[in-house]
Amino acid sequence: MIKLTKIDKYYDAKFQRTFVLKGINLEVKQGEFVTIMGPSGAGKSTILNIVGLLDDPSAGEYYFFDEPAHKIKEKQKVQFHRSQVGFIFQAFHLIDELNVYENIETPLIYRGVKGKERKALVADLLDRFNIVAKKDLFPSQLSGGQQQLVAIARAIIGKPKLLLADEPTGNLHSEQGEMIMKLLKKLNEEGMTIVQVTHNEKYAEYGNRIIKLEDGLVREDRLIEAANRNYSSVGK
Amino acid sequence: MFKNYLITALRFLKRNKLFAGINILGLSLALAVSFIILLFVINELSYNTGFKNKKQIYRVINNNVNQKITIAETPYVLSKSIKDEFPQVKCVTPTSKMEKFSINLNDEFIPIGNVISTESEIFKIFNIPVTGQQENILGDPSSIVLSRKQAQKFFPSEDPIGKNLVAKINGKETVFEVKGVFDDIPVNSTFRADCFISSKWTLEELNQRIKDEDAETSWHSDFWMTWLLVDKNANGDILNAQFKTLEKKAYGEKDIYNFTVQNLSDVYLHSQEIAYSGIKGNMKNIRIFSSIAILIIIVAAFNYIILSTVVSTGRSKEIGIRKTNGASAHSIRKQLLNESVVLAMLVLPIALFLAWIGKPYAEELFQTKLLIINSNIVIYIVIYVVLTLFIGLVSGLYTSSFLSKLNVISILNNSVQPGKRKSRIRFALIVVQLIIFCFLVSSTLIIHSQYKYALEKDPGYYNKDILFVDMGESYQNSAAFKNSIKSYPNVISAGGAIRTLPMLDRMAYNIENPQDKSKKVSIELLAVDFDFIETMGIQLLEGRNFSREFGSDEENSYLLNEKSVEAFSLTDPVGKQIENGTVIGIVKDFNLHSFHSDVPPLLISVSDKYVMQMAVHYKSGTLGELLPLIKAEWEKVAPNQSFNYKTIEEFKKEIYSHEKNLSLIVSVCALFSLLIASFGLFGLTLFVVKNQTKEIGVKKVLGGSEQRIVSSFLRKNFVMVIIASTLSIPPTILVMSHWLSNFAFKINIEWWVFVLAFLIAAFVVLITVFYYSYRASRLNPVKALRCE
Repeated sequence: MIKLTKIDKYYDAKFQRTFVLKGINLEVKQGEFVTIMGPSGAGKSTILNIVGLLDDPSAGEYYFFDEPAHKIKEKQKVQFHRSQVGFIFQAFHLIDELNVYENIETPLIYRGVKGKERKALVADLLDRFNIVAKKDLFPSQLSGGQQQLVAIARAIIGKPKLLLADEPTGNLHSEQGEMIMKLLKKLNEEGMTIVQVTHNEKYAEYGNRIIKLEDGLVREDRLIEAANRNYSSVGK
Repeated sequence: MFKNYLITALRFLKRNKLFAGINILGLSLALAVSFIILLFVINELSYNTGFKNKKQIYRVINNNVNQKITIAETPYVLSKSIKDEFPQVKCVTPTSKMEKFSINLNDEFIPIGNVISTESEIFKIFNIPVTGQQENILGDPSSIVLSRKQAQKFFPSEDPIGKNLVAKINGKETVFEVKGVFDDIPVNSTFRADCFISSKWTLEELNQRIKDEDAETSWHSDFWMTWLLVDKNANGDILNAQFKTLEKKAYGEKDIYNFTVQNLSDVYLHSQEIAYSGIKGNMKNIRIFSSIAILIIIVAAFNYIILSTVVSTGRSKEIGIRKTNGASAHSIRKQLLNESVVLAMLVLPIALFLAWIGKPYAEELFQTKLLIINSNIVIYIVIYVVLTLFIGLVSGLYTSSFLSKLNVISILNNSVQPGKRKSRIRFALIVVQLIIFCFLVSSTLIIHSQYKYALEKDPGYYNKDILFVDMGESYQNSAAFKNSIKSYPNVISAGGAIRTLPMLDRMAYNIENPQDKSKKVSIELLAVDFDFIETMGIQLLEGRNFSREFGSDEENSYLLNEKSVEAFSLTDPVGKQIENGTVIGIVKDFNLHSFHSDVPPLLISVSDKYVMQMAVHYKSGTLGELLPLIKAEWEKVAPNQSFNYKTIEEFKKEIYSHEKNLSLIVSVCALFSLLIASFGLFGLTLFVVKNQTKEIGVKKVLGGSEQRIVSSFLRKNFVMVIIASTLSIPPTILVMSHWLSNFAFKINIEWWVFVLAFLIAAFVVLITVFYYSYRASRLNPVKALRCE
């Protein structure tokens, strides 16, 4: 599904080129739940941004379902964001001026889904995530865990094939973190491909593959045995 | 989709009440001011547009070559000749306004304002719908056609057609029969009528008054406006050429009269030089006021742009999120544009409300009623809405093109620094606002100095302690009146003339130059009595003043001024013959007219018969006790006439009231532009300070003092004011020199005007900026850094 070959990302300062990513080769198959780990500044979020087409690699090739994604134009990127991928962020990034219902609805509006259908889809998700009662509240009135729940709902309402989560539990205390990870795992079991970035070893275990980054290089890439046995076949 | 945008926009405004408030208030103030100005401008421009045939309606203008004046009045007989000899003229009719016409209602004679004495074709020319008799409605001299309003007044509950009215006309009571009722003529017309009567009545009145010519057939009895309705394809030039033949036939080879036609559309605004033209507008005023409106709109639009960019950078996070959710740059642009337009439209009702509140004050400033004319309502609405939309669109386009381009990652990583980006453009916008303000302030000061100068400059005669009494119809008794008031000890002297000084109109004649008979010199005339020169303190340079002792001064003695000596190129002028009189003395040049025009060559003649205005020179400060005494004398001389007087100071203020009003209007607009610009600056400072809280905190931790922090804010703004006030100088000088060229006697534009404008701008700007920057500098650094 995702294939990165020799991806570089660097910034040019006056006399110096600073590499964030250096020759990254990575392949993610459909149905995988990949966790990217590593110390601060290792380039975790940058990989995620490149995969999500929020950022362009400086060099290298990126194939998404065998399409050369490093070549696509700005307009197609918008299509990509609309149909293929959902984002979750550490800081939730809900629109403060919109309530829960409206926040979840937003991607559908950009996809041009009709009003009635939108209503049904949002109602469905609210129900599934058990937040029907909160639908008229604004982000500032919710706890962190609830906000992230809304953010996930918003990320998946367009039925994307790939979910990118940048430290989804970073701003949450453990109980809420646990809840979010369970939800992600469940989504993965239902067939969603997920790539997450986290610092937390325990949460990494929810996935089925761990990639450790250090100074822009892949140091380790291993499957989690138990998980592997259970889920690795899903995507194949 | 739109609903989603609208919700976010409104909720965002709700959360940023201060910004939204400043923005909305600034914009609505500016719109209100320009709405009022536009109301005036639209009304002025809409004059005479209410007639269906307006392009085909002309009136005849009469250029009197000899007297060098152009009037809108022509002889009665002209219409008849045009009807016979001008094939492309469909209808032609003379009109004349009847004075002193009143209609009896319940045994009381009620004066009617606009009584037009004319012929039946007038209804065809102006396409005025009439109910009642259609053909030759004014054929019978006892016919009267009333306007709907007048018909309501005299016949409130019955059909007026066929009824009789008793009217007082030409001093006698006459019975009129109402032959028809016409629809009221639009108020924004120069042609106004409350009722129409037959042209016979004015002819009768003229023949009573002027015995030596028949008003119906004389080619010299210029008392009628002649209106033409021409064919669709006729043009003015052909008509003017045809007049040439007609003039020859009527006046012979002597080129005394010169007829031309003027289209109805030019009658209101392009008749400045035409006397007896009726209601006139002033194109210059319209230009000045619409430019002011445009300047204010620019200030407001810039404000709106500055504040919306500033505020909406606060929304970059939302935009980043929307982008990750599949919004394209295009849809972001559309959203921001929508919002900006919606906000502008929210402002519209507020602006209308403010304009409505401000209207009575504006009426005082403009010295005119600002009517809301029904037929213009569509124009008002369209212009107001378009203007508002335009501001919304322009600022929306600017903000949206800026925000939609932002990179998502930098937004979401909080690495966008809102206050800083585009700050150079904002800087430029504020500078332009300040330039406009400085321009308005220095212009006001210049206009006001010119006004003061015009009031105070020595015109060559006494500038104060002079009282003018209007003799009106009692001009024959002027000598008796003069002698009776001269006896009062507080009266230094009294003397009369045909007009007050400065003189408003001009009586110009061409006089043969005694040196070279073939050349004619255009010279102005002033008739005075024996005491006027002395009373007004006009200086005699050579020769003697008029005196009764010589007996014959009234017939054949003249005074000249220096300019006319020059014009005739006389050496040793006293004793020389001019026309059929002798030059007995030379007076120093004095300002016969207002300071708008130069001193003309002048010939002064003496006579007790033409004293229309009595000038009284009194001892300073005694006017209060003197007035009742003079009034008592007046009542003895003219018991049936009201006592009309004004001091020379009052009269001059009247003459220059246009300059005074203009300076007032410009200063009010300057005030508004400053107010609006400072709103913007206030909002901007508030925002920049908010965004630099961290920077200020770090500076303080590193040992920056409060003064340094405040002064760094002030310095930047001070630079702005310096740039703006410097840049405002050239346009001000350009525009104001142009304006001052209306005056023959004018001030020089002085440097202090610009310094003062600079000081005012600097003061207001620094005060605005100081408050918030001071507050920010006092912030505890711990707090400032924690809020990240």
